[in-house]
Amino acid sequence: MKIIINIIIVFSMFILSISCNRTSDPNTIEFWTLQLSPVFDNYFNEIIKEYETQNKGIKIKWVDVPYDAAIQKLLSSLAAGNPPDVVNLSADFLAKFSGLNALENFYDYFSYDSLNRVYLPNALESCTFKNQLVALPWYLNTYCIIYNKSLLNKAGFDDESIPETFKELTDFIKLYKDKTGKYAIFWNIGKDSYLPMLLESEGVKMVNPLLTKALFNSKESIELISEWMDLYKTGYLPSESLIKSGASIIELYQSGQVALVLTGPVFLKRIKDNSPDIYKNTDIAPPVVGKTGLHELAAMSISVMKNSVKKKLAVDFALYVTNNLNQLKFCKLATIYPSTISALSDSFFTRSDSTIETRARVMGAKLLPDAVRLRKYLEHPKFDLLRDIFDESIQSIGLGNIPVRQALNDAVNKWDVILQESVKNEK
Amino acid sequence: MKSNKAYLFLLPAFMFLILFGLIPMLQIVYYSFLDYNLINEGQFTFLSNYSKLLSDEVFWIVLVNSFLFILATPLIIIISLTLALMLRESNKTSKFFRSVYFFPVVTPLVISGIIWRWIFAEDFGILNYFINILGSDNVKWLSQYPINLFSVIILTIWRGFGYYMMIFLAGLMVIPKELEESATLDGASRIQKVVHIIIPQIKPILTFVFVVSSSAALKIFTEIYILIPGTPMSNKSIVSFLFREAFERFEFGLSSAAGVLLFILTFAFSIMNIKIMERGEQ
Repeated sequence: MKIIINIIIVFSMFILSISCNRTSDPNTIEFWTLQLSPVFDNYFNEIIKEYETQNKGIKIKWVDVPYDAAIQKLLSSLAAGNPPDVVNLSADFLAKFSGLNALENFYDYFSYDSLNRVYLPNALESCTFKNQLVALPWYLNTYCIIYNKSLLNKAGFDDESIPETFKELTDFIKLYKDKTGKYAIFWNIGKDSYLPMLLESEGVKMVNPLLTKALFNSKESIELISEWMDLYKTGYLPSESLIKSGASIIELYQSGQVALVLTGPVFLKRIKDNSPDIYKNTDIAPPVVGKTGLHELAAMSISVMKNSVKKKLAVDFALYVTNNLNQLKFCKLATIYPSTISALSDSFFTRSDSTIETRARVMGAKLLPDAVRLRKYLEHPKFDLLRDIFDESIQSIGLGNIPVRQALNDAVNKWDVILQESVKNEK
Repeated sequence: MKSNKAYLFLLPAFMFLILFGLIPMLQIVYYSFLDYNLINEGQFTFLSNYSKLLSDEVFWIVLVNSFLFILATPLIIIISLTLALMLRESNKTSKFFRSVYFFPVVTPLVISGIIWRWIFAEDFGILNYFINILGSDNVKWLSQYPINLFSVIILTIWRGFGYYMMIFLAGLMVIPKELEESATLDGASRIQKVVHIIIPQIKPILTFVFVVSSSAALKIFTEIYILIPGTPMSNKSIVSFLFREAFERFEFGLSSAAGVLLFILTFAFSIMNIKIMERGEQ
């Protein structure tokens, strides 16, 4: 019996030792990034070493987490009471954790004016939720058209035929398919749909400014969405446009199945690595836009967790990671853009040597100030629920043959219930 | 003293079972009565998660879908048992084919998913390519409900039959050869031997495979997650619903309530299966 009791004690101590394993050293800051290792290991090790040298006694523990598992890992670390101090979040994750009131407000440390002098206004705006700056903007990306010159030339198109507006894009899609029998583009309209961005770029609001009423069943919205659903139903868009997400957007381009793709210039490197032959024939053009001329800004940001016990140190480190010098260094390693005004005005973003990468970089840097967070509803804590409802309404039009007006009216009603519920909860 | 030693050996497994099985299960039951998102302190809402679930149309659809996946169970049993009967002789050819058929079991599911996604791809997939050659239009293997459920069932069968084949092979090994030999002498055909000798002899294994594969079908998730991630929730299973509520929407209370209901259903279904099989034996 004694042996059994001893084993229970040893086992309990073992379990306790596992659960208390995480360090809570007051001088160590835990910093999480999203899927940047091993490609950028040298960069991070270098800037961390420099920070530790400048701040004697402070240690940075860098943890890189896979993008797909990031939200679960962060959530479980929060639940276990061991969150990282500083964390890199994408726009979606930022909205989610901001909605959970888990992120520190940088305006508690810095004034708007002081930050506005350093960071691009649109980048700061993308990190602002309910007047709180829940992150510092980090590296940015914008959209461009990447196209296959050879496929276009074979079909009788030239560089001048590249669409500039969504209207021109729909015409181009039809013309290209009619001429070649092949798809011009893969564009995800049913899963993580691009249609809300299209509507907003055309000046059609998805939701009112106070986030209390959905507006996407207006006449203009129905017309625009009908146009795209007709393209799908008449076979001008790939069948899986309704169920594949943006992550798949580049696959068909890389395999030469479609002539163009609307995505970030950062994907040029992937095309170069995966499909050198396609890359040889690849060129770029500015993104298609609607009547407003606005296009989507993709922003990565750095947040400090509210539960961190070293908030001041964490804020200081976040400021360091996003400063001019470090952002510029980082941008020289990939086709991304800095969120600081000074770094963006560096000659690196203005001088082109006529290679496609530098042209993409210069073009993107010029376009960046016009890029904004088009989808206002991302500010809502239940934005993912709203997004799913919209996506499923589009899928029901394409796959269930529900009339566009009916599907959008149903979705708007569902949105209104959620939006009103939030208003009630806030009161 | 002897019995004490036996408990000693059981203790580590028992402790793990309590720590990582029983306690989390009880916690899930507790969370199902809360409005809880893992970060904020949960608010006790009694049965509101259950009433929310039961009044949610999508929940009922995913529940029906989960039961539809049970259709895979008889198919998987027929295929794996047939293959086990064909490969029960221990020679080089059968050893080779046993390895071949077991290959999908050891192939990482992510790789299997990618391969099958290319097979089922609607515009550029190999399956539709052959369908086009035969003169038919493209089939929406991945986007059209319930065809996409059928695609998931195909992937599930492909992944699982090798595993169940091995279990049946182990069962077939212990059937006394004399029984089949005397049946042969009595003039029994091959099918008669299978029906009257082999199946009754491996009934406990059949029960086991049926219970395990049907409860696995009820809990199907990864195959759906990999093959048809972008389809509406109404095309998916109850575990997909549970996963979305917990890890995408952080509705841990609602998700726990769905988990409790799934447990009750799986438990009841397994008991029912065992009872039916036992009655068959009697």
